[in-house]
Amino acid sequence: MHWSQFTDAWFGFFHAPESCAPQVLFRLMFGSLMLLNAVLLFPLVTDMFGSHAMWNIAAWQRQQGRTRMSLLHLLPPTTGGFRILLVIHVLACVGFLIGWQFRVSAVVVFVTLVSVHHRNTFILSSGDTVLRLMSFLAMFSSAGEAFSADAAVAGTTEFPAVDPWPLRLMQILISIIYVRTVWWKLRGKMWWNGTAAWYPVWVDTYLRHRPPRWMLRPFFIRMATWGTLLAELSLGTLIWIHELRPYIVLSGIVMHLVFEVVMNLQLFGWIMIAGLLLFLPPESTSRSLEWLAAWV
Amino acid sequence: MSDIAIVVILVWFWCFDLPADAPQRRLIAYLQKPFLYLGLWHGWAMFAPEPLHVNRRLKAIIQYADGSIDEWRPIEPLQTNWFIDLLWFRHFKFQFSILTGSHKVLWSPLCQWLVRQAKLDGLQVVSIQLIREYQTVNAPTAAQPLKEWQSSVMHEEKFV
Repeated sequence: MHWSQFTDAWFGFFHAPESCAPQVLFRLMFGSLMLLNAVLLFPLVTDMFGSHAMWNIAAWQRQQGRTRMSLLHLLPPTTGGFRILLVIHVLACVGFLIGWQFRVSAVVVFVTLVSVHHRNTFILSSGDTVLRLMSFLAMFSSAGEAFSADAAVAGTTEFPAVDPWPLRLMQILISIIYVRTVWWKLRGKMWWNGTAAWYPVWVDTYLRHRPPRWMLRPFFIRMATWGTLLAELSLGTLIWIHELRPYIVLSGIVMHLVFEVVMNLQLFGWIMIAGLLLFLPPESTSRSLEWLAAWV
Repeated sequence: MSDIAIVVILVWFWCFDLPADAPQRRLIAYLQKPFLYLGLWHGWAMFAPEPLHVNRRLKAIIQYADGSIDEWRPIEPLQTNWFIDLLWFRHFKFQFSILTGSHKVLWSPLCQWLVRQAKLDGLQVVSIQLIREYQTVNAPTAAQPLKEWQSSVMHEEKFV
């Protein structure tokens, strides 16, 4: 392969202008989840983030110092200080969702989210990690170019073609998550011998609804274990084949919805579904959004 | 400029989640300070390499100055109310972090929190024991899915 072929392929993939519709759809779903996530933090302020919380501010400052970014270093080290941070975060999430001053909103969302996460890392899960990384990439995206308050002010009704490199990085991140989780799973013998799916349904921390006993027979457990590996591997790899993409995205959505029924993974499944929407074709995504706009 | 950023971000996303002794991970060790500062750390070993196969619960035995003894437990999953379990998910996660044993830094602040709660009720705490209760999940072929609950003291603190 010549260098020029490589650079052409690189620019074609990362920079060939493409409709911003998938990014806009992602903004709507991801923004809603960010807002829900923020609202769910309010009842936890006193116990988890306050000055006299279970993980109190003094202990946090001793452990972390200023090695991690946090706006809390600029606010009073009190429960009130954290509430101020959370209110700013919620307002930024609203700005992100409706696409008002999108770039500024996205930056504030990321900085405030990281500040919240760094305050108490012991309550975080994989869904939070995806939120953090995606909100980082969203700062560079064109998700506010259409179907937004900014677009309404500018009088734009189309989905303009934009440089899609942030979208590509988001897609690659989603792909890496699935590939890497399979890679880690294959280092464990329970995933090889087909028993891994048995254990989570007996662990209280994650369990939502235990499947009926007939579904817990070895045959079904093996199918669930190896089926999960196969589905996740497909989501990380086959999703890049355009002809297969709709089926792979659909299988991913179904897989996450099944996990939602059985397990309490907080917002992880919904966040990953939002990530899978980034793979939808721009044309059909813009048609769906136009239909939604007409319906609203 | 954006291409350099793309390459750096891709390398970070691909390499950071590898085991600490992997060559690619060692390579990015030089880059990691600003990324960690910005909160771009990540790990995708979900239910891996092995899924969690132990139920763990936390219990605190609190002894007061008047000689009485109380038992405290954190919020636990109900499995009957979807919304409540969603709301308190982070409490479950926090309890999980306390119980894993790799976050001993949490134990003393938790005891201080319990002392403060007691003080708000006008009680003076003399000592607190943090107890880990655990129950192993048997293999699918076993007659019973779960073993008996067991317990062990993981931390003790006195307040004089």
